[in-house]
Amino acid sequence: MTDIVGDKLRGHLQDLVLAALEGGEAHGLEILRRLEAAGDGSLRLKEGSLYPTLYRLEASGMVKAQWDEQTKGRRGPRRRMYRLTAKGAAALARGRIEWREFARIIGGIMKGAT
Amino acid sequence: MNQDNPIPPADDDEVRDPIEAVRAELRGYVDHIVSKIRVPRRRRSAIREELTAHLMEIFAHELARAPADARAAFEAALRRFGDGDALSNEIQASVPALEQMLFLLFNRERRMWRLMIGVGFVVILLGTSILLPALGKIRQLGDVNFHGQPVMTLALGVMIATAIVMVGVHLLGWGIARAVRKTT
Repeated sequence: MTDIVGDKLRGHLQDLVLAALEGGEAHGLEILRRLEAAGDGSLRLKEGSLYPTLYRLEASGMVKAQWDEQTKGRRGPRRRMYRLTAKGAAALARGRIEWREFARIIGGIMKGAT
Repeated sequence: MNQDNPIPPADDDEVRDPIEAVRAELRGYVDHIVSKIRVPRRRRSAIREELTAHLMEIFAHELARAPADARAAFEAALRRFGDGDALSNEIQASVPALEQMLFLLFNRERRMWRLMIGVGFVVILLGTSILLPALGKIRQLGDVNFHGQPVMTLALGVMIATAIVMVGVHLLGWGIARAVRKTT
């Protein structure tokens, strides 16, 4: 299977992150794990590039973040946990509709002229 | 330190423990990323902590794969994390305009231009508080036949107030120009 790398994901990452957070709150690394698992290991993303997307989503009120104070089983800096807000859930629902429409149209074109 | 390498060297204690030395290098890598981001200090420190936590975890993951080679784990972690300069730019672009504006105005590290902007605002307010009533008075007097001393006084008031406003605008512009120069 072909890997899907950075440039192809640009523009879709916000919706993908919102979809990953639908499964419950998570920190950055966990969000990446969920995306990789959901993408059958084909998503290849520079992990740091997740954070600008998370900060944008947070600034627009689509996710909320808070520090995870639990340090059990690990040491070092704290992790920040993100969760989907109602606004984020609504944006995700819109994103899904737009994506289906996009895939329908582009899929039709890519099939080739008959 | 190599000029191309933004990571500071580890101190003596860390050199004795190669894994701790690599952790110090990772912290240095994150420091380099966040040092370029123009956000208030608290926000920058939160970004630093979050990125460090992530980078440390992927380093631990890579180290678990090859426990004997901390250097290889370090390099693999950086490859996974991505280019630091590009990440700085992307994070900066994700900062809301209002937050960037607040940083420009209230960043404690740069006092002089903040003072200029503050004084500029005050002087503009002072000038307009003289200028606007004077202009209003001239409009009122415009309907009646006026001449002589009152007109001269008003004209002088308008000129002085205009000069004050111009000084304020100049200070404000200078402050903003300094702010922009220092933060780019």
